[in-house]
Amino acid sequence: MQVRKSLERKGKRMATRTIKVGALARVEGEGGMLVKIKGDKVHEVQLNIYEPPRFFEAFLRGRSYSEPPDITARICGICPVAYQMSACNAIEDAFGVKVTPVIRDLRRLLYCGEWIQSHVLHIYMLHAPDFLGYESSVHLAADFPDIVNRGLQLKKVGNEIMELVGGRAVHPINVRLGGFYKAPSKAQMLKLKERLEWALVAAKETIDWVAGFNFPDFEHNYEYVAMRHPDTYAIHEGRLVSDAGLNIAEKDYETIFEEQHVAHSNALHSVIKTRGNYFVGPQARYSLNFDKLSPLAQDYALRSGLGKTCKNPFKSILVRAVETLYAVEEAIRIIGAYEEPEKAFVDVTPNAGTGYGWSEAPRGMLYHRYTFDDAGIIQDCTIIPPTSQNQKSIEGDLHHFVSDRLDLPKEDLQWQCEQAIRNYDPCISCATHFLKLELEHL
Amino acid sequence: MRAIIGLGNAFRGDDAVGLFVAEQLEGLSSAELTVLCHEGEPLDLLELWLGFDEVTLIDASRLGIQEGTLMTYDLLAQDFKATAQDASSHAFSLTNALKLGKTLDRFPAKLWLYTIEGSSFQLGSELSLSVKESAQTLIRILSQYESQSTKASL
Repeated sequence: MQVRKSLERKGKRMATRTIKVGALARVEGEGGMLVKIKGDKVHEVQLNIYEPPRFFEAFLRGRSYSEPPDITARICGICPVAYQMSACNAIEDAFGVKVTPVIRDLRRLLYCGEWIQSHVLHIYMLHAPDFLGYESSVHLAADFPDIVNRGLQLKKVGNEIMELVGGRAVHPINVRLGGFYKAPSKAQMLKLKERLEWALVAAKETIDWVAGFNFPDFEHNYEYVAMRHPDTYAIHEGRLVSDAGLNIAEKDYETIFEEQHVAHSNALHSVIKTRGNYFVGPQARYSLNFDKLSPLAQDYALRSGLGKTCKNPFKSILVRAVETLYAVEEAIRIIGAYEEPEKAFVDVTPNAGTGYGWSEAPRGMLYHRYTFDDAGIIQDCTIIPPTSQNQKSIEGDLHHFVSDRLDLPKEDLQWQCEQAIRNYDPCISCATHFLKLELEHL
Repeated sequence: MRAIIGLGNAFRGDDAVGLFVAEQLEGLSSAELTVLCHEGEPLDLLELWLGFDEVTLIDASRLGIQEGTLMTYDLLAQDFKATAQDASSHAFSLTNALKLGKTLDRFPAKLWLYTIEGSSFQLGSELSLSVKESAQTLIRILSQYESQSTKASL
């Protein structure tokens, strides 16, 4: 608050009016968002990224093919599995590795754990307070401890999946190329199933709870991009499709998409070369794959008020709740069919070449590419996280959002902008460090 | 049962100091003491410390004070607004996790926080010299405390 008052005083001296709010505590990581307003029009919106995500790409060059799953998992404390799975997919692609069906299912189960953990964190702790008029989940917990405790328990079920399959809840250590170091026993899995049966009820209650929120009337119309699989709701395998007709394999990603430098940010903006910005994440996944959700998830989605597509970013919280229900169901299905494999991994032999991989992180598609020499030493790599892909669209959304609300008192506008940014659950820690929001009236 | 939990991000310079201290104290692990490193978001602490009577957290701070400053907080007696500003890019800040734990009555019987003021949080940077010196001081303090606690329980 002191900073804000200081800047307001500074703004008067400069014949401008500047509003600065503190760090957006409920956005993972921190970065900067600047909105410049001139007269009755939004002049400029900039999502500022202070740190490039390129440290890890440089760090990996010269290292062994076996290291990226563990190293890239450290990029983000919220979605380590996404980094591990995209890395495994890309490296196994380079070496022609095909995993067994049981390893495929274990990977999907681990990923379900991460989706549950990440989505529930965002729904209960970061986003729901916005809709209920609370400053934070701490304030929400004071009035509704049972609801927040339900969120904590549901998140814990995601942690428990990650502990069992991944070895621990944060930065799983059981993942290796070709599969896992050790597969869980059938008995361990069945014990987890009891917890998931409770989680199924809690996930349904979560949808019913969130469906009762009031959602601002706002829609965007960006090209949605997400993975799609012929047999299932795509999580860790599939092609990349869009609602504008895109349908490509991993190796074609960089011929269709490109990263661009922008003056106000150290990070790169990802665009479709021929069409510009696009959008990845839960809403894109849901809108492109509604038919692949389970009947139960479809039923709950429709009765919650969602259509078969969702273009209102404020309803992303509802989509996350539906995906949480699906992830719990999917985990139960996988555990029910599980038989402990004799071997938890397939052998991997390196060769020279380039591999491409992607998977659906909680916040959207995460792309990895690696090039190796004969000994499997990394010569080059590229990692494109979902928040980098969405940066340009987030700026566009905020531009339109603020334009329609310029008559609001600045405190209200500031609050609504913060809420709008949280719609995208930006995992800034993947791409940057600290996030602040500034509204500047020129 | 006691726990020492080091917090931080191993790749972000001074943010790693909590992990560094915990790693150095791993040798003290016993039936009575568990030493952990936690690199994830702090909300998980509310589960991680379940079952422990006394928990000591170690994290980097960024309060704008002199680099390497070591501070101690009795979290059961603290107003969190005035104390533990987290310096890392965690999802749900340590301060908020502690506030939530207190609101939901999920605190252990004793809860301490040691912070060491960092100055460099850039990816790939090392621990600053004064931060490392303070970390060594803290390692001595906690080692002595554990030695006394062990004697007292015998």
